[in-house]
Amino acid sequence: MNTEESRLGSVPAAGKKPSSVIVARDVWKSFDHGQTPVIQGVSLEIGRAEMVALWGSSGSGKSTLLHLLSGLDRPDRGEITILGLDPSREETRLRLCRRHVGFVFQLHNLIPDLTMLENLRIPCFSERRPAREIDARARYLAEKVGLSHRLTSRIQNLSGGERQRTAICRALMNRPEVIFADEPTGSLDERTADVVFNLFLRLVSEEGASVILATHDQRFTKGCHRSLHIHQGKALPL
Amino acid sequence: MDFLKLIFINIRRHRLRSLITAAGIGFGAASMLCIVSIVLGAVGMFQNILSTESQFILFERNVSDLFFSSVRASQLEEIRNFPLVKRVDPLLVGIVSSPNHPIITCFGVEADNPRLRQAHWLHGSATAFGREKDAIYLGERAASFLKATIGQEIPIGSRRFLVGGVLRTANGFEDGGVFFPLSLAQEFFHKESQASLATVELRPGASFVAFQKQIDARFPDLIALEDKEFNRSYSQFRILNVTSWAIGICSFLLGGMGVANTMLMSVFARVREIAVLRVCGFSRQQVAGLILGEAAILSGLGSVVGCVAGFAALVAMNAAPQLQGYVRAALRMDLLVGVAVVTLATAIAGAFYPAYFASRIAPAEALRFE
Ligand SMILES: Nc1ncnc2c1ncn2[C@@H]1O[C@H](COP(=O)(O)OP(=O)(O)O)[C@@H](O)[C@H]1O
Ligand SMILES: [Mg+2]
Repeated sequence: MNTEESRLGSVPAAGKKPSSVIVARDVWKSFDHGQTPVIQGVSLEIGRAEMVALWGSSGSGKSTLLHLLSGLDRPDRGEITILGLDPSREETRLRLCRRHVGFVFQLHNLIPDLTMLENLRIPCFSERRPAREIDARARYLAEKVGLSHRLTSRIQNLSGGERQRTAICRALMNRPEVIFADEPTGSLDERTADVVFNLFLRLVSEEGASVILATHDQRFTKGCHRSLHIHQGKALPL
Repeated sequence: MDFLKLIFINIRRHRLRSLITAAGIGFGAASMLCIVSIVLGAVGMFQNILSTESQFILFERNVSDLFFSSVRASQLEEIRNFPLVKRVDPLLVGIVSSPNHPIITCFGVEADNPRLRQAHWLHGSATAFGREKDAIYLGERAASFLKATIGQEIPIGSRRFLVGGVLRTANGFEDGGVFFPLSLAQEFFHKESQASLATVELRPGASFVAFQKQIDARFPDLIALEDKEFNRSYSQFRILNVTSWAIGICSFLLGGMGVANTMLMSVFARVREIAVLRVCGFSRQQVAGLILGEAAILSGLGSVVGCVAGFAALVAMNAAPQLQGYVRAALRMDLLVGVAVVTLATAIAGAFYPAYFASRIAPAEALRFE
């Protein structure tokens, strides 16, 4: 990866897609004006369709690293590129969010008084795509997670598992190349969590997206290709 | 996904808060509309008293209130003889009290004053005006609140007068007043050979400027103003106008702050949701648009309801017999539209900071507390 090119945020030439979807080089991040160092010199690369778990205890900095890698937050030092683009520029970040990356959080973060279908349309809001195509995609994903019959239900009438499955569908609406998942089943009971997590992995691999999963639960790291242990500000292979 | 729908869900989610905000804006719009209409109406009525067919109002220079103005009969006589002048109608204005009525406006006019001819005489007639001894003539509303009719003797101030007739004029102030023959008014108010002011009609084709120059040269203590000049420069009208504007601006400031407060609350309660929208690809501008849109819809609703309510109140006021004359609101479309537009602008100005705040929400920060 040419760092000069990525600093300029240029688009990789067609046909020469980078093999790594995410590249981080010596990334540092602290809070409270340096009083709370959290990420201290993390370098990593994540390949196409690769699933990587960031595993660590609570407070170890998984979410912080995930936010940095996805462009939601900016590092104090170091470089990050997503698909060869520099996400620290707001325009680029927007473009990435609209087309190339998807997010699943611990809380579903759906809009409770909209229906499942309406929630699924939200990531497509700024893309000029025909409504019929958007709804077809929503229907396809809903069917994949077994919620076809819930499309017109309001979120407030769905169960916890159903909500989280809806959140997974929302992340996949724009056929993103990368999914960032922060404890995606952390709010569910164990049995439901297993079901939803397996569904998530299956769907994402079908879609061919890379996954960066933050979790404190080692059960979930097994399903991934690779795990990094987040400890004392570093990311070390497990 | 529909932008409007995203705005509406939030309005619906907090129905009561939305309703209160819209109602606040509505009250502001309604009161603004009422105040301005009533002031404009009052000014309009006052102007009517002064100008019948005349083009000029002649009064004492540098008086703040026409009640204090004084024009001498000898001056008027001389002006009548100006070749430019067709007619001069003196008017003596005074205020007296009677036992149950603290304010009775009195107009002293000559018998040939055109307004007497133009009035509709309910009792008596214009031809009798000034011919009967100690007779006065009541505006229709004055007759009703003084409970007097033709032929009766009534107390006005310290004296008793005979009611010589009852007339209905086109003007609210006049209708609530009492007409005296000029000489009787002069005697009653101890202003012998004086009038408060005079209205002047020029001969056809006469130069307005020439007339004003002539007055300036011959009577430096008087001033002749064209009707519309007078309306602009008369200090009482100016005070009324400034007051109504000041009240209006205050009510708009209050309205704007109300909107600012509501929208800030709305944003604070939705930080997380806004962060998710940002994560889903909403730009800062789109987020700001949601907030401004919500404010615009609330204030639009408020201003429509307020304007309709205010307009209805004004129509009711104009129809109420008790207020006839004192309140004759100007029902003007341009005013209605103006108030609606200003209300909307104020609300959007009030939503500006909340919208800015919303657009600066950092997704990583907002999504952190789980
Ligand atoms: N915005 C912030 N301000 C201050 N401290 C923060 C902030 N974000 C995270 N931290 C701190 O950084 C550390 C790592 O947090 P986080 O990344 O959320 O951990 P994890 O996701 O692994 O539980 C914690 O000690 C947390 O308090
Ligand atoms: Mg976390």
